[in-house]
Amino acid sequence: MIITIDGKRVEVEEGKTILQVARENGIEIPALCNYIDGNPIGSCGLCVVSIKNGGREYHARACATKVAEGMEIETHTQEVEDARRTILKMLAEEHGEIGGEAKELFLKYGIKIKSDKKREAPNLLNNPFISFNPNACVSCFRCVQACSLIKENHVLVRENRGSNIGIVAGINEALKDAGCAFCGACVDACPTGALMDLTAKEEETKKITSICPYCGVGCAIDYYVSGDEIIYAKGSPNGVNKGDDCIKGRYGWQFVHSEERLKKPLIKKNGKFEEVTWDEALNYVASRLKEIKEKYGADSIAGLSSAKCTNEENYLFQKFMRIVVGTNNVDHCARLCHASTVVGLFKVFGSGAMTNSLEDLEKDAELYFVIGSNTTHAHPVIGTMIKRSVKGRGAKLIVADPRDIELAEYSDIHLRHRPGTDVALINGMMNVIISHGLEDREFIENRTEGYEKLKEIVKKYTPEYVEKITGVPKEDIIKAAVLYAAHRSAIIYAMGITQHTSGTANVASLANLALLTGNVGKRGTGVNPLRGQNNVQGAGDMGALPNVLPSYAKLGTRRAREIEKIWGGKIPDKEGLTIVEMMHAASKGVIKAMYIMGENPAVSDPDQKHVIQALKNLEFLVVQDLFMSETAQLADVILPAASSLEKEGTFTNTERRVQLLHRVLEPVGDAKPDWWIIQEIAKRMGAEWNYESPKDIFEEIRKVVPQYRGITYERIEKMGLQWPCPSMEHPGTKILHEDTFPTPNGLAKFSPYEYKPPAEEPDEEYPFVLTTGRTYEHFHTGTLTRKIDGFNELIPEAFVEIHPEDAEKLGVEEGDCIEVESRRGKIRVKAKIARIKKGVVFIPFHFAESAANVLTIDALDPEAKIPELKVAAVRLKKC
Amino acid sequence: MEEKVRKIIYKHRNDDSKLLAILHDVQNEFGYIPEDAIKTIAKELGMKKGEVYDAASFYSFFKFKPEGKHEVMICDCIVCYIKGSERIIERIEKEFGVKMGETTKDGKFTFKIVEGLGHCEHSPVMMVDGKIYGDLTPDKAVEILRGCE
Repeated sequence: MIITIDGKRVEVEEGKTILQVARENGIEIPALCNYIDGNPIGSCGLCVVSIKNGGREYHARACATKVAEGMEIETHTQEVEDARRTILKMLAEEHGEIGGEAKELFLKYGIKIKSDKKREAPNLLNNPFISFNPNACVSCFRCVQACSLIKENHVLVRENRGSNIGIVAGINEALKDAGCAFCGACVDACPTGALMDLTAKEEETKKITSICPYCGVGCAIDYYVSGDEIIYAKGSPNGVNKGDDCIKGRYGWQFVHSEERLKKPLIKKNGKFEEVTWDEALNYVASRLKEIKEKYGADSIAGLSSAKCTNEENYLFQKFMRIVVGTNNVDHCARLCHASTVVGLFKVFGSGAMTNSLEDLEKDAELYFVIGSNTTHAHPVIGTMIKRSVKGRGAKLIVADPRDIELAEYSDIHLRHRPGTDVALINGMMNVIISHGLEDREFIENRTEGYEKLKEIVKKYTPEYVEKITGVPKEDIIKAAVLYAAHRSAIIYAMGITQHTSGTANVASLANLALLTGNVGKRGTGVNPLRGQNNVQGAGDMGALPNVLPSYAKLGTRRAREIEKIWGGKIPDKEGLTIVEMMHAASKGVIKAMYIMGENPAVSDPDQKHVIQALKNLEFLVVQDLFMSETAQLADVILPAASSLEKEGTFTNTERRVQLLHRVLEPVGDAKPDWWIIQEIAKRMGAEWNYESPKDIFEEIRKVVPQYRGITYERIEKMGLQWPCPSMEHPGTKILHEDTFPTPNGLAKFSPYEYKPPAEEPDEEYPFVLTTGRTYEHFHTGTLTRKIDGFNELIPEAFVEIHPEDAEKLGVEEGDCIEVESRRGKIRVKAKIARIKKGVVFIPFHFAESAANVLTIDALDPEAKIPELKVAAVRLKKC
Repeated sequence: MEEKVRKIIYKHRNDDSKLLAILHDVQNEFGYIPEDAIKTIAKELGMKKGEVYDAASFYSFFKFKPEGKHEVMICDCIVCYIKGSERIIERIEKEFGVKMGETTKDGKFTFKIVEGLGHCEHSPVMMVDGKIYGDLTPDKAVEILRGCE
């Protein structure tokens, strides 16, 4: 199509707006309200242009008018420029405090912003993170569009019309009450400086991009830094998150500046911590560990590595435990989150990682089956992606969760199954698929083995039978199964699946379901575990596990011998202890010393009373952390560590993407990166290690871990690569199992399980089922997020979610104190009447003073040794 | 209340653009649109509460606060003004202890200023619950209002 713009004939694509075409041709038309191309708001009128076409002459908004054949467009006639000046003048007379990018526009048109008018601020002002200046807001509604179209939150809306129009949150409420996610999309959209981050100030900043320290999505965050202080931060457009972020990515960095950061090494002398030099602390740790090793043997020492630390540090930590200390007693918190994923997926697919990528899931999944994942809270950027796909392009959504999680609002079907009945539910869906003839016969024939056994086992799981076990109406089971089988479907799951005594069975059953319908190895499908911590994937890849070495190499094999050659030391063949087993061994006096890096088992692990007793029973405990955590308080030595914003290294995100950290700040006080600390202890115990930087360590990882071989710091400087990446030429792997499975015969293996009830079911004495999890605002044991005032303002304390009818029976109202008691202990928390399955209660586990893990049970999955954090029997009474 | 709102929503289940019809019926039922009704409508229609409020607040017809039992509109157009409407307003404000636009504490009256009730021949005028009263004096206006149940 040919049009003329400012006298220039140009060929343009149909469907574009005049504004788009002008900008593509280097013509700058002023516009305040235009934000998302193709979704004009049309509130400011500044982009008005003059148009001649088919003998007609008229004016129109360039943002909202599509180009048409033969159009002659003039963008800067006297007439339209006068109109623009008039609009700007009117705005300037009404809004005296306009700032931001709009200010430049006023300057360009020579208009002075001058008005004494003071406007009333809406109630949204009442919040800890975002400021709003009504005297700068020109009601362009870019923020409203960002909140609705980009984030699908619909919290910011318009109120009234005409000259009274303005923005409000919800029904003119405080942001928190209106359901604001504090993602800051509105702040990024605002052109007048009306909406701003509260921490932002007029100061010269430099931008440093690094990886968010919180969940496994691995968002790239742009940190704006002045001196040694972060001023504000926002999601980087150049990461997997493509500019998205959440409350933790955007505001969660504030812990790095906390007064409570540990700044000096501490040794407990006569029951009190005293500041010491690094030399004294390191010498003391090395000599005590040596002593204990000599006295009781290497297996009397255990170490906890950390999914919050880098690949390099995890690699070094397990290497230290294995060849310097001489034990395989090394584990990390993945034991508590995705141990069953690794075992379950390995069994079926031959590899224990997320099969697909965020990019193909966002674009191509026709259906999301979200089970045991409160995605919008625990992995918010993926949650937003799902909401956008459902609302924006009509993707289907099945949610299976006993709680009314936010995604349930967006779902086609919500299956509220009883906690711990996942295997029955999934077997039931497979029963329906087979009985309706919806299985993918070609895929089963060519890519799998063991189908007959699966068929036999799921036979008895008829919808009627499964309804009895799960409490889900049989019609919903049938509908969900048919929908899943009939679409290009992606399974997304998290801790609701893995943290059970049947965790491995749950994971394997989901993998069976995907195999049955051929939903593996293709774009928009797969089995996708969402990793909880920033580097759970990497910590596992690096072998911070008691039964496998880096790259999941088995102990005592030829691979182990090859690694020994690179390391120059002997790796013991005997498997080490897992986290929960370590605690049992410590309480029995078998484990005498522990080295804990960046973990807080005193709050995170099940049956807290027992864990604390075990840690107290140790002869020697070293804790390496940013803060005086509940675990650190029990230590003999505390080593102050640098945060991930203060160091270099790599994290591997949930989709197997190895991403490079850039140092944003210098470490606070005398804090040191974990890799440095580990190496200094190792040297003092006789190791000849000479790593000068994380890059040195990564180069060694490339030799030991074949999946990482083709990845270098240079290659991932801007954007990470997804493993397997076996050579320098390899582009990384977006989707696993496209042609073959990494099993001996290349086939996936159906691994069916029978339903087994959870370890502890409700009874007359303890009639409620307790399930635990995260909130949106806080993270894990709160070591980081509870140092941030704004987060504490939003969620100050623990609560127990309870069904309205259960609350009524107990005579409990919103906010009342409730005592929750299990066979292991009791805590007091505030009641929150919520939409949750009757007979089920939920408590977040962030709060040490009312720790949910006082109540939980440490019953283990027999294969993955993951504890059943998601089901415990409890009783409730009003305090 | 939730039950009543749900009934209204159910009544309009087959309408194409049901939101406005529901809002009208809710206002007829309660005299205004309560916050809890907005929440119920949002939930049932698969919308966010803010989206419902955004649409509803576009129309000045919808009220979001409860009003008095009797709606009193006092005309303050130029004709009534010349005939002394300001004195009537002043007197009412003093007598009932409210400002125009507000509701009396006992919830009996909500007073509003309007421009032009279309009965200039009887100005100054006021309208109480849809009925016109003309040729007012401050005393007469108060007397009429005192006579309301």
